[in-house]
Amino acid sequence: MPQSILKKPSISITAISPPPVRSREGRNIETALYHAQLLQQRKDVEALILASTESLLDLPTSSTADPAHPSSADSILVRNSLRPFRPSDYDSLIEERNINKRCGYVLCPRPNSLQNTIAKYRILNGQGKRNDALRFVERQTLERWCSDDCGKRALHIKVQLSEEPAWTRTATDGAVVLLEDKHVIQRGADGKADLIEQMKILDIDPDGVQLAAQLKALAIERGDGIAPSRSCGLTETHIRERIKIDGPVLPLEPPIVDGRTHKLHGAIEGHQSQFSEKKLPGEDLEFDGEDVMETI
Amino acid sequence: MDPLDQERAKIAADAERELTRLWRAWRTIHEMCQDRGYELAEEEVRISLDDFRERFADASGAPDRKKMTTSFRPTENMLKKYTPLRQPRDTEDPKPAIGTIWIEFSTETSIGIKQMRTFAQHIHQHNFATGILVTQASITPAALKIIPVVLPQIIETFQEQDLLVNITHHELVPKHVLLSAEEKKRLLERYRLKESQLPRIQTGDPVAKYLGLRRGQVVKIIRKSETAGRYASYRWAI
Repeated sequence: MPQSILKKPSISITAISPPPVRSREGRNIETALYHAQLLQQRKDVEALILASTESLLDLPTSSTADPAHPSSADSILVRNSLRPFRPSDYDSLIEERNINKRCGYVLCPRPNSLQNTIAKYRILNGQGKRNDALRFVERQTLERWCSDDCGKRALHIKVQLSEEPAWTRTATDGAVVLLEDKHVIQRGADGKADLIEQMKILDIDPDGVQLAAQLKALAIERGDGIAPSRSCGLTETHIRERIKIDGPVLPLEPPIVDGRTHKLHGAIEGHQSQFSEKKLPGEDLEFDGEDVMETI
Repeated sequence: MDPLDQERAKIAADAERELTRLWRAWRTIHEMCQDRGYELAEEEVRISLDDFRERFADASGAPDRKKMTTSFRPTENMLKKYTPLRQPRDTEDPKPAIGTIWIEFSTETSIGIKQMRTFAQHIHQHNFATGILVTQASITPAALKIIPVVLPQIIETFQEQDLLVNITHHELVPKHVLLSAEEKKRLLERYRLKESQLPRIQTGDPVAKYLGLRRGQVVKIIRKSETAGRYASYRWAI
């Protein structure tokens, strides 16, 4: 009897095909669930932003509060609530506060300044000449703040907010620094010329930022998109931050006893990332450690 | 005429114009409720400007929006139309998804989260099925996000300027008739369709807003046709 010259198919199929052979239906359900959870997560974030906006409408808690020296409880609340905000959300918060006849800056108890007209636009004298001599400004924008100082404070917050929607950000993004806190930190840092501290204040952290961006791009390229799409409302996390407002916040001094110990605080559950050792070989040891913190 | 008199005449003219505007909005919203199927007396709908002035103007002749609130109950026909079909697993007859409607003209010049919350609170407290808020200016986007939060109670918002004329009386607007669940089922069987195969109408469409259409409902649109006399088409609200 002639034998087939073809290879037996059973072996080759088992060798090539991946072990988990799921039914079409199962895969469809999985995809549907994945996208449903993404949507739910997005809805949760939007609900959170709405709730935060509502709570920020009534700030500050005392009517005599000074926007230049906010109470620590209020400023912590503001910084925590503003985390998921985008600039557009922040604008609508200001609009809502103005409707309630309050200064647009969240920590200011005063009413917003009113123009003595109900016209839609105002003509202001600008500093420039000819074309720039006159400016046509909407009355609404002139009535946003109680004073220019509050306008500056509020804008300082706005420029820190990220355009990226909160449901696509990582958990660490979106920290906000108030203008007053920044001054305090800066004043404190002038005395001690700490390199890391200054780098932090000046926001010059090119390697850290680049590294994070590169890692992100790499993750997308590899198709790590199947990240946990779990709704943030389903898992309970307690994040407690150590915030000190009235003084400069010094980073923990990394122990430079030897290479191993200093790297330990960059470990994730005991696992040491191999990345940092290959990267940045010529960097200062101290700075290297800081970088790892930033990217994690 | 001395300047003081002139000033007074100007204020009176402004008040009169405002009153007329609100009278028109008031009439449109009553016609709207009648078209949707609420219980309204004919003289309520056809209120004259003088009667309106008597009821709602204050001493200076300007309209008082605080007084401009009203509520209506649905008619038997409307209750039937809004009753969903009985499913095999239902143990008792399904309840109609409609009830008393509350209409309020807002006194605020701008509507934010706070004002919207107060309105939602009022609807919730008095257990109205639907609330209509007529505003003088547009509502902030953040305040509009409250509307889906209070479901199944429905909040609809209109601007005064959009109610000055009844759009359904325009000759280019065909007649829209809402189908009941039973009629919808028969339509789909008759043409052997799935509902997703029907043409669609957005719930934000002016006529859909006028009729208070909800997602999933089907309207019959009856147009005049030169060749056929009348021509009916159906649209699925989305």
